[in-house]
Amino acid sequence: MFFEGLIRRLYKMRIGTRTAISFFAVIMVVLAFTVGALLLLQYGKNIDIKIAKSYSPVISSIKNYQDLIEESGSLAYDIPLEKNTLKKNRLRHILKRVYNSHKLDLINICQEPGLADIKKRVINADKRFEKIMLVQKEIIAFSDTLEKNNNLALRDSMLVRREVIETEINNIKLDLNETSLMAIAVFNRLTTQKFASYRTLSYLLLIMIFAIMVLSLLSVYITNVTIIQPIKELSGILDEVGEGKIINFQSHIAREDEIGEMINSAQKVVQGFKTKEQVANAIGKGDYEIKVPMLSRKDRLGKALTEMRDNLKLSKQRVEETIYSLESTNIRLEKKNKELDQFAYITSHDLKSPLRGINNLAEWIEEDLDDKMTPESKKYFNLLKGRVHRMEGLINSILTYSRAGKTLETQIEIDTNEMVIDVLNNSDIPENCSILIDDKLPIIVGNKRDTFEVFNVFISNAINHNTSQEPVVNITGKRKGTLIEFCIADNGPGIEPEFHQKVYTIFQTLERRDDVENIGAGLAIGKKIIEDYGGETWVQSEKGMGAKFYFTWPA
Amino acid sequence: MNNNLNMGDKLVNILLVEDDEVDVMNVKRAFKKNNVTNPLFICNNGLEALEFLRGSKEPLAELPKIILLDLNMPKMGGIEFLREIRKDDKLKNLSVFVMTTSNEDKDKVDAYNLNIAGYILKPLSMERFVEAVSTLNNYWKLCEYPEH
Repeated sequence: MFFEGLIRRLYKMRIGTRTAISFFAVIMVVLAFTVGALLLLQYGKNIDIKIAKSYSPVISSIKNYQDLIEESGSLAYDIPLEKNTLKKNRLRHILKRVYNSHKLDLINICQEPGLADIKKRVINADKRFEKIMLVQKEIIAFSDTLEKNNNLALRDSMLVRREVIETEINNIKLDLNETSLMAIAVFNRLTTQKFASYRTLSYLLLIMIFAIMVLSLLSVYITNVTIIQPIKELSGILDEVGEGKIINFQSHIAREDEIGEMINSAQKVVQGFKTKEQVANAIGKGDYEIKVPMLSRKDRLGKALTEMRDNLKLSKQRVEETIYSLESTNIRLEKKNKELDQFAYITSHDLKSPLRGINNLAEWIEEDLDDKMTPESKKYFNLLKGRVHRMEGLINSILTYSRAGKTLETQIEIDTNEMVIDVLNNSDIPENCSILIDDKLPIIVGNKRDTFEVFNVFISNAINHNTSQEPVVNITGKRKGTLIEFCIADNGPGIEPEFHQKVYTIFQTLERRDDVENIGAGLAIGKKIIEDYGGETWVQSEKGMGAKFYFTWPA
Repeated sequence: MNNNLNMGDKLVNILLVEDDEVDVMNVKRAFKKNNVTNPLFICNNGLEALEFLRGSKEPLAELPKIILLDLNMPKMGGIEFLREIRKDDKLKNLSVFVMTTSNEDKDKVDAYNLNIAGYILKPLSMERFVEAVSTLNNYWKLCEYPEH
C-alpha cells in the first residue's frame, strides 16, 4: 500500500525533481554523518586534551606537594636536636615561598570539573598541613630561643611537637597517595570514554555506508520502475511502429513527468500515423476527395499525402482524358479501317467489271479474227489475257485481304488435326511431297473459315515454294502458356533474314511473277487474321536451310 | 437438235437486267454459241426492268419466265429490284438468276432470302461463261413452268 502510494507520487514527480530529491537525500545523509563524525572526533580530541592537560601535572603536583611535606617534616624533625642554621633557613624558605607556589599550582590544576573530588581532598590535606606548618614555625621559634638560653622545658615541648607532626605528616602522605590513585582512576575513566566515542564513530560510519547502499538500491529501483521500464515499453512500441505496424497503445499509468510527456508524444506520433494510414488507405482506394488532417503547419507527411492525393487525382483525370481521347481515336481508327476495307472492297469490285470487259472484248477480237491473226499477234493476245488474269488475281487478293480478319459470329472449338487434313484435301500436293503432322495437334477456338484460311496460307506456302527434290512439310503445334504455338516447317530454299518481315507484306513476292505466278497476298491475309485473333506470326529461316513459319493462337 | 428453251413448243422469254454493255454482249454471244434462241429482252437497271415487267410504257404480250439479274446497277440495284418484284403479286413467282461479280456473303444471303433460283459469279473468261450458260440452258430445259 505504502509502496504503491510512493510509486504513484514518484510518477507524478518530474525526473529532475526526483533526481534532485535523491541527490539531496544522499547529500543530507553524508552531511549528517560527517557532522556527527566531526563532533565525535572533536569530543575525543577534547578528552585527549583534558588527559594531556590534567593527568601528568596533577600527579606530579601531588608528588611535588608530597615531597614538600616530607622535606619540611624531616627538616622540622632535625632542627630540635642540633643547632643547624642551614636546615632552619631551608625550612623557613619552604614555608614562606615553596609551599605557596606548590599549593597554588595544585589548586590551579585541580580546577577541572572532573577533578572536583581530588581538589576537595587536596584542600583538606592542605588545611591539615597548614596546622603542621604552624607547629613547624613554633619549632623554629623555639629553636631560636634555645640558642640564646638553654631551657630544658622548652626542649621537651619541642620533642613532643616533633612527634606529633611526624605522625600527622605520614597521615597526610598516605592521604595524598590515595588522592593520586583517585586521580589516576579519573583519567582511566576519561580514556574509557574516549574509546567509547571512537567506537560510536565507527558504528556511525558503518550505518552511513549501509544507508548509502540502501539509498543507492532504492534509487536504482526507482530509476528502473519509473524510467527504464517505461522507456523499454515505449521503445518496443516504437520498434513496432518502425517496422510499419501501426498499433494503438495506452499507457497503464497516468504520468506527469518527462516519461509521461514522452509517452504522450509517442501516442501523438502513433495516432498521427494511424490517421495518415486511414487517409492513405482511402486515397489508395481511389477517394481523392478525402481531407488530409494536418497535425500542424510543419506536418510534412500530411503535406506529402496531400500532394500525393492531388497528383493522383490529376493523373486520374489525365488518364481518364487520355482514355477518352484514346477511345475516340480508337473509334475513329476503327471507322477509318472499316472505311479502308470498304474502299478496297468497292474499288476492287468496281475494277473487276471493266477488266472482265477488256478480257471479253479481247477474246471476241481473237475469235472474230481467228486465222487472220499472225502468230505474233496471237502471242500478244495471250500475254494480254495473262496480264488481265494476273490483275484479276491481284484484285481478288485485295478483296480477300480487305475482308480478312476475325469473323465475329460462329466461334467454335476446332480440332486442328481435322482442319489440317481438310486443308490438305483441298490442296494440290505433288506426288513426291511428304507431309508430316504432329500426332496430337491442339484444339483451338475460332471461326472455321478463318482458321481454314490461316492453315491453308501456311501449308500452301510451304508446298508451293518448295524447290527441294523431295519436299517435306512438318506441321506441329503445342501449348505455350496462354497461347498455342503452331509451326509449319519446310525444307525449301529458305528466306534470308532481311526478307523475314517483307514476306508478310501484301503483294511482296521474292520471285518475278513472270517466273512463278504468285500474287503475294497469302501470308499478309494469314497475318491479318492471326493478329485479329490476338496471335502473332514470325519466320525462322536462313538461306538454303528451309523455313519455319510460326504462328500463335490464343488458347 | 433443239437446244432452245421452250415450254412445249413455245420459247420462254428471258429478261436480262444488266447495265454493262460488254456484259450484255457477252450474254448474247454466249446464247448464240449455245444456240439459245429464246427471245431476250434487255433492261439497263432495276427501275427500267420494273417498268418493262409492269408494262407501264408499252404493254407486254407475255411476261418473261426467267430473269438474269446483275446486282450492282445505277438507279435501282438487283437486291432492291428483287424486293420490289417479290412484293408484287403478279411478279413474285418469276425465276431469277443472279449473275454478278460480287462474291460478298451478304449479297448471296440477301439474294437467296428473296427466293432466287441461282447465284452465278461472272467468270473472267468467255470460255467459262459459255459453259455456264450451257449448264443454265440445260437446267431451264428441265424445269416446268406454270401456264398463264
